[in-house]
Amino acid sequence: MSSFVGEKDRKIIPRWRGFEGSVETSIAGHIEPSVDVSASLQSNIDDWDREQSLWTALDVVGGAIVENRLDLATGALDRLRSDPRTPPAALALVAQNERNLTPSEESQISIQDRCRDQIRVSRRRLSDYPFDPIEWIDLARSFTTLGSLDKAQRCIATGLVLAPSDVFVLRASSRFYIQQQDPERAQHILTKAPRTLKNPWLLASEIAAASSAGRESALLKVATRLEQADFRNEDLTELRAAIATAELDAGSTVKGKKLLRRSLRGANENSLAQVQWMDRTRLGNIIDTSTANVPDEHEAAAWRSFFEGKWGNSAERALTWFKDQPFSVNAGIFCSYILSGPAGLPGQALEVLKIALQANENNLVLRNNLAYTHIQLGQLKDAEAALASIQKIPSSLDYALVQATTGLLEFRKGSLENGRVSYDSAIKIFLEEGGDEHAGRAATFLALEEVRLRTPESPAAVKLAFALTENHKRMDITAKLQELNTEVEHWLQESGKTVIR
Amino acid sequence: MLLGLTLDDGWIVTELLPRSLGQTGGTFSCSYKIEHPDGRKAFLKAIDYDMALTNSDPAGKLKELVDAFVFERTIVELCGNRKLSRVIRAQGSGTKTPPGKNVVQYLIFEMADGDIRKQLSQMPAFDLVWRLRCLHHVFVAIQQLHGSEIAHQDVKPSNVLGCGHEGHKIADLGRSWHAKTTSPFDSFGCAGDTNYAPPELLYSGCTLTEEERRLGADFYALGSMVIFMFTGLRMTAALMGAMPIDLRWNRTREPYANVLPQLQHAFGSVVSQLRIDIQSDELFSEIKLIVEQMCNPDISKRGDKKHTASIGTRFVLQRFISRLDTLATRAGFGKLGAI
Repeated sequence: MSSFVGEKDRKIIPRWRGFEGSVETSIAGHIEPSVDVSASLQSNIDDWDREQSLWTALDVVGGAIVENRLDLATGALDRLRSDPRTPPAALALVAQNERNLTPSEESQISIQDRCRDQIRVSRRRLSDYPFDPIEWIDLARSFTTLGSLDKAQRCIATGLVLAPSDVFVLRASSRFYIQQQDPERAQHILTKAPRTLKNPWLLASEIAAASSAGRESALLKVATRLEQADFRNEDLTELRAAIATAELDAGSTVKGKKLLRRSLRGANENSLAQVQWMDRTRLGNIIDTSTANVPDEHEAAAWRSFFEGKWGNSAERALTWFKDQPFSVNAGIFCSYILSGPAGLPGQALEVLKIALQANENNLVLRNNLAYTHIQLGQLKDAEAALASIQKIPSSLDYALVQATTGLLEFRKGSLENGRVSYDSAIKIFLEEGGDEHAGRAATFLALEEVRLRTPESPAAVKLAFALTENHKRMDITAKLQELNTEVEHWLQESGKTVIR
Repeated sequence: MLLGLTLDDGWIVTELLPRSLGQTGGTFSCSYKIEHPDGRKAFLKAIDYDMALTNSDPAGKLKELVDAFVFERTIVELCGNRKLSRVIRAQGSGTKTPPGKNVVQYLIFEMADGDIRKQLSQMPAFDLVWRLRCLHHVFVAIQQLHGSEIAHQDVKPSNVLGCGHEGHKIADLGRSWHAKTTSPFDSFGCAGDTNYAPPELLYSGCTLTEEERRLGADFYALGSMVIFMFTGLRMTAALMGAMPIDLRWNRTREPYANVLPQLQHAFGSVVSQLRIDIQSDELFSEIKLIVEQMCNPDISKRGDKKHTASIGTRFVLQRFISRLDTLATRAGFGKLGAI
């Protein structure tokens, strides 16, 4: 049985994107540039109008780039592009400027190939100029995605030495240590940076890191003051969501609700996902998140579609979420779950899992989902190997999850008795540990296996499945029950009966 | 205004030159070509006080213009007296009253062939030796100025003029700084052209020593000239082009210290892009080193640190000049490989 996380525990952990992709969302204090043309640029333009040579064209384009007024240098730009004598580096720099002005398009090549390319580029750049903290962090991200975590850690350390108070560097470093299951260190990096006290993005990350470490942030009061300071809503949205989460965790529902609603003003995809999750799990769907106008809402949209039972849409959004954060455990688990299960795309799930496991080699749920996906694809030996590779089972619920998958594998191998024992053990533990929905899902899976094989144990298994899923609310369980119903109906038609006894 | 008139020392004003010619804030000055009956040609820069009278604060504007003119005259005379060979020579100054107009003050400079943009555009092929030699001359010019306690503060391609067999010289000292003379631009955050200015002067919140503000800006501008010679773009444009739009100097209130990591990232990108145009590893590593030390966005990393201990300042150009001279000589012998 595959599984996913995110139902019980979501923190507003900072997203870690490549620098170019993240900067628009984390910079406080925007100003609108002047529309006037400076005397300097005007002088360049006059020179160009008078003497349309290549080098005056280069000069006017240079001035226009500095003032973000390339619209005034279109003739000169045309000249640069058409003149074979234009220095190639000038064309490359102009192209880079244009890339920075337009949203980046999703690359068609795979995540791993893209990371390898990025590592090559970053290494070359850092060999030319090693004092670039951002490039070290970008390199760390690529290494993290590919699972070279020691190398990534060294890059993070270098980035932190070069820019110990930069927002991008601090947030990415904090995110890296959360990824490394070291939330204390993730918090420490932020707590010791003086800038954290004044920057809403850093404070939001600090609160999330503290919360991941299982403690309350000592900076909550500072955060509450800063939340009301003169920042753009876009700069405060994650901080508001982080404080709201802390308030709701502490039982302050009224404050939490207010902050969640405020967080929707200027929301980004991370804060929207947090608001939506808090609303669904803690408040019972009372907040209208449709007012938030977030352009690239991957995670929130994936969850929303999931709970609406729109599997195709949910899978599509989950894949975008995963491509955005390919090292994220939650993205990997959710994406593999939806692809291998409700969306019926186990081949794609396998691809996702291979990538996700590089950064999270020992993650039990990912390994369990890998085994489940292999079972779906009929690759039973691979499934067995995936289950055997699980080294540590931290909790009884995790153990039950593995037992359920083992049960499925045993059924597919033809060892029905072993399968039943595993499933029974899983269901028992789920019920004992309060995992009622998981128990219902495991029972449904068991019943499906029994009915498909038309075993004498089928009626009892079906009854148990329906009994344990009586109060469920999830669309994925509903879908599984429908599958079970259909299978039962086929069986009844075959046997000429009307009721299973 | 002066066209067709004969000046007191026999010069005849023969041609009004286009206004800007890259001059920073030259709105109130006019440039003329002048010829002497003995065949000499020169360049005349005249201050148009009449235009100042149309300003909303004519008295203030007049004072500003007079102060600026007097300052520039003082500086060019000082350069002349010290015989700075790489600075455009002033050949005189004076006043003339055109019929029906107010008095016009002027400075006469030696005539140049044109600025390097024009020269580069007329070159049929890439000439590495020429470019390195030109850079060498500009570096020497700034060294001569620094030796006279003057910071140019407005080094840019349009102020580097070709002077025939004499090579290249630096022009336009109107925005310069002199340790012993007060300039009307001393209080400006950025005295020179902002579009060529170093990032520490563009972003807010950077505390600078006088040396860093003046000599550091010249160092940056010289490094920018190196970038210009090889990529055609000034450093400020290359840096801003590589910065995300929301972090550019005219789009954010973030202080210099907060954007420095991003500027370093942009700088790293510019240094890497240099490889596209410089294939020779030896030349690339030399140019990279010069650019890194001349126009590092982090002002504290700019300059030649080897000199700090011995002479108390890192803003010393000697080693860069030697390096450029060696490079130009080696390139002349074809020893730098294909570019």
